[in-house]
Amino acid sequence: MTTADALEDELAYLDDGRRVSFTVDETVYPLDAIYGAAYLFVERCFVFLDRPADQKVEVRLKPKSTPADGELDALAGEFANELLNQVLRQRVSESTARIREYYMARAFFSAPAQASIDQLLAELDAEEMEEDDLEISVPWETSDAGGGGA
Amino acid sequence: MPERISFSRSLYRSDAVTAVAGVYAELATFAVDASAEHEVVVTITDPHPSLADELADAFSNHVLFESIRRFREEQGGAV
Repeated sequence: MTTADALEDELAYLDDGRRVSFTVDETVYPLDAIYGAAYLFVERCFVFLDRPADQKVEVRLKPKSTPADGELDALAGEFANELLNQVLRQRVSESTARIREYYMARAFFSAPAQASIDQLLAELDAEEMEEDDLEISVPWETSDAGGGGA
Repeated sequence: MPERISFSRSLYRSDAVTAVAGVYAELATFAVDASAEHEVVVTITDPHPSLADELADAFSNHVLFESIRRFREEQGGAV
């Protein structure tokens, strides 16, 4: 059995020489995953979705130019792979959601209390108004410095 | 000969169908019938001669793209 045959068994796709179609079970591949895969394919081929029955989505893929030998099989296979990829991404995203939330919460709320922007501005103002303890003279304050050359 | 496309409401957004029909209006006549409960039917007539072969496919593709974009936007996520 070739890979295409195995894929055909799993996906049961129909190929009329111009387009390929197959039915996806929404209980296995959620609609979000189907949309995710379809979104990536609309640039490569014409994608049409239909609803033959409840929880079933028929996907029709038609290359934008006349398909070469085996191109339709490959297209169906790539779409199936992308479906799996989308489901996996979704599951990883869901399973790590709490970890992400935890780190976000920690970043925002666990850090020591910091001065507010007003407090920081007030501190800067106060520093500007303080005299320089070291009394380091700068050229624009020393009009009577007399020369200043080396 | 008029071409009829049926978009399932459970997969496509009605507002996306209408919006894309407006964008393609210069290329053919698009009659959008959104009266059915489960589908939005578009009938395409008088397509531009040079686009007649693939206008329906391109239109459907664009409607799918726009539907997904709007669904995702509504969910607050990136496309």
